[in-house]
Amino acid sequence: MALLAGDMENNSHSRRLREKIRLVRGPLDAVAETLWSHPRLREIYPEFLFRNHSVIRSSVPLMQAAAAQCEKMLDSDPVAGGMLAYLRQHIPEETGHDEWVLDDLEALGFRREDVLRRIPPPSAAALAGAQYYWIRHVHPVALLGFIAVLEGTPPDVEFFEQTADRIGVPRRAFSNLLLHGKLDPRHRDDLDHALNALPLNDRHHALMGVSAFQTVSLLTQVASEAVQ
Amino acid sequence: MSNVDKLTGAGLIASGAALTPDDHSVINNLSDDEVNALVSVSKKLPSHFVQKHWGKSSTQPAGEQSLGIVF
Repeated sequence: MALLAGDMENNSHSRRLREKIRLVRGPLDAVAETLWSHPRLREIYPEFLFRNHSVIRSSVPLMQAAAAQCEKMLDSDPVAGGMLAYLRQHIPEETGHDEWVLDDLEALGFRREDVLRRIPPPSAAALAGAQYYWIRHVHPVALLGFIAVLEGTPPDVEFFEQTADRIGVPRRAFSNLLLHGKLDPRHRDDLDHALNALPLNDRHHALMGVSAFQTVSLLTQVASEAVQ
Repeated sequence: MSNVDKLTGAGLIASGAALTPDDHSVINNLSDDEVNALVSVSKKLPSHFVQKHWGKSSTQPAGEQSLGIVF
């Protein structure tokens, strides 16, 4: 009951972050439009998947790094406890999702070991690497800005089923997007509830904003490189 | 100088972009660190990208189409 009351009092936390992301996500939407309407989508889709894997492989390790930092701060930081509870719930939910992308690539004829042997693009390393910096040297709450961007726009299941059909690719090669389309609306809501229950101050908000802006920029770069 | 003026001056907001009152409020409530971060990260993007789309996004329903790079 106390959590619910706190949630209702502070429902501006999630809205404040989402409003910032809404304003800057134009370049990301533009790349999405270019990518999914690309006349050679069938040809570039595997490269997109490789880049997707380069990013998604860092999801659980980043949350583990943030959780470890929260544990260290439990006695001194009022945000750490609530954030740790959210991460402990979310880590198992996200575990193994990088395998879904490898499954998709395998469905297209690519061997897992070949995909894993490729060096990920620097833009993907910068995207994840920045979060390790924020978590370790500033505050783990930064990661919530990153997650808010990545889980903020759940894939539209019907759209991606039609896209697979349109380019003549088996739907099982879109399993990552189709499964996330079903899971991410709830994950987005879970993050909003977690944000609203945290005792966030202006500095936390600024850091989540900086992290989200950087995430939009680097994610745009990661995806743009796939369509070049 | 307001944040809107700063970001317009830095080329992040197209001159004459149709910002709503809510957009103005969100932008003008950004901290200095956030404004500086925006200017910094925007240099990684083609300038026309930012200029073309900032402001446009505020009139579109967010999340019409997922990029597909997920968490």
